[in-house]
Amino acid sequence: MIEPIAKWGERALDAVLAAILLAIVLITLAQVLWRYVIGASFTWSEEVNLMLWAWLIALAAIKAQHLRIGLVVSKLPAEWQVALYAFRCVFSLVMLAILGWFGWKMVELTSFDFHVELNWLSRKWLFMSICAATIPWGIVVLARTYLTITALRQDPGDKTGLLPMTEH
Amino acid sequence: MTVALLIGSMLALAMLGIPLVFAILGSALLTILVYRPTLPLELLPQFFVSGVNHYALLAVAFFFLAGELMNAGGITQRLVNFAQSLVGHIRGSLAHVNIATSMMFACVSGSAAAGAAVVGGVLIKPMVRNGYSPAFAGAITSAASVIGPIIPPSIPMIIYAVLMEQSVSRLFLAGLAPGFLVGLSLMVVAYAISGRRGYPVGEPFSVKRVIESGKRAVIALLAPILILVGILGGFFTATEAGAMAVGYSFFVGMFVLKELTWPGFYRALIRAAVGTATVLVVVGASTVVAWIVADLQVSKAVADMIFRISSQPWAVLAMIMVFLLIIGLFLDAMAALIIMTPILAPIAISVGIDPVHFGVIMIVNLLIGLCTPPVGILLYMSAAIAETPPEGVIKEVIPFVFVLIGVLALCTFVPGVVLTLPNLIYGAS
Repeated sequence: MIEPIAKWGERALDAVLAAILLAIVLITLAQVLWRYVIGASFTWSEEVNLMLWAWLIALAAIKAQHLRIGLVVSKLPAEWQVALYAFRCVFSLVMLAILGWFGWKMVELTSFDFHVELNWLSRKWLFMSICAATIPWGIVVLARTYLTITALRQDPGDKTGLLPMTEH
Repeated sequence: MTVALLIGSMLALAMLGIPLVFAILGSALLTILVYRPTLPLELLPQFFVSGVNHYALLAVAFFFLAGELMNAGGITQRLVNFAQSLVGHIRGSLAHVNIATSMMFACVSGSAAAGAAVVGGVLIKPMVRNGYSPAFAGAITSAASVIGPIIPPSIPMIIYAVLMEQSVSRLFLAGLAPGFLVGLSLMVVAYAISGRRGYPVGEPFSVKRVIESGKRAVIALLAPILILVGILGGFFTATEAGAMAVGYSFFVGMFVLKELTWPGFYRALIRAAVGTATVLVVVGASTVVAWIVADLQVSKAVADMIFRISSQPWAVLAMIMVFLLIIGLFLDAMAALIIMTPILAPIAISVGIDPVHFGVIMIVNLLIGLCTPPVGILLYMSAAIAETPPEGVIKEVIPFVFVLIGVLALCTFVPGVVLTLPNLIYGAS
């Protein structure tokens, strides 16, 4: 039941990420082309690109394997590792909640703060990107912790593939 | 005391295996709550977002993507053949080919891990088949991959440039000479080791082969030339150059070499997006720390500690370099760069060190940490490709690490090595 939803979710996320990055590349290329071929430049391209960029990073962070040091942990006995994984998970969720909560406050604070060129586009949408990302990001953190702990409980000996030294 | 709390809690959380983005945010939050409890916590998301939202940082995703596309487009094998025709006749043939290919790949890609995966993937197996020990093949791949982010384009240099408000182009140019120096000195060591162990010599040098393989590789080598000339000539910014590199590698892979497929292009886009986010969330979190560092004058406190020992520029640089080598043992290069730049760079600049010079040596320094245990990602990647235990690779990499440190010392104490080229093109800063 959960697996197909997760798979579908990841596919949808992938498609959005690819589309945003492609759009950023195309806008930047078009900007260079316009400057040399037509002799004029877009004034809006930088603002659009930076808005897309904020969303690209926030959304891609949901599925990224985040940089961390796994060294000390992988040497510990399995029960300790389970406890540490649980602590990590709770810590990450608390930080995400803080980012999301105060991110929302920033959305409220900047809702009447408009861009210069795109004067209909509020800067609140920049901060909306983290708010939107924190909940699915938190779900991924929970799911990964659950899977890792289950795997550790089943076979404490085999940690290959689950616990690389540093995740990249 | 603030320094101890900020850095101490950050390292403690990181050592517990908490993702760096949260370890950094956590230590920032703790420091604010203890020393500046009246501050609004909205500044966490505010600096997190504004730290990421820099136009120059778009280039990180572009160079990531260009590297992915070049690789998926079948360019690597052409570079290997060209390198073989250039240096394959020297004793320790494939070891030199490995280094030369890494140098060429460095002109296309800006990431060390990508270099190790790509060059190691193509060359480690043939090396083992030709009688090189798997540990040696892994070690040379690790050490040579360090060149990736030194020779432009370079992802760490873009990040440093944004953090310290320096010119990306100037930093790119400053990395050129040190990058070649690293490559040449690695070749010297590889030659000495190969002579002692009787590693093979390749086919004799032939100008005809150089021209033939060069013709096939030129399509790949045109990309870095396009990037460099474009940036240096002021035709486009480093960010736009990144987008041009993406456009070029897409065109070549899809329509000229015809090895890039649409699904491959789609996967490359996703990989580049996710890879970029991994680095950039740490940049965002560190921007919060950088603000606290400025607000609580942490850099000044660290400077006082250093200046108590000496305030001679060379002594300050030596202390910072030793400190960074130690940090590099435990922290990933990119994370260390982002956290340490706002603390250390102002100190170096205050004793008269050129910010571009400092950026390059700091990056070379932290990259060395990628091939030293316990947290040397390149060692483990190369060992995995060579299907050999990392311990052997670690033993074999030692002479190469000493050479890397030697080059670092040269670049540190002879600024001309780093600064001559950018000063020549752009004028002294």
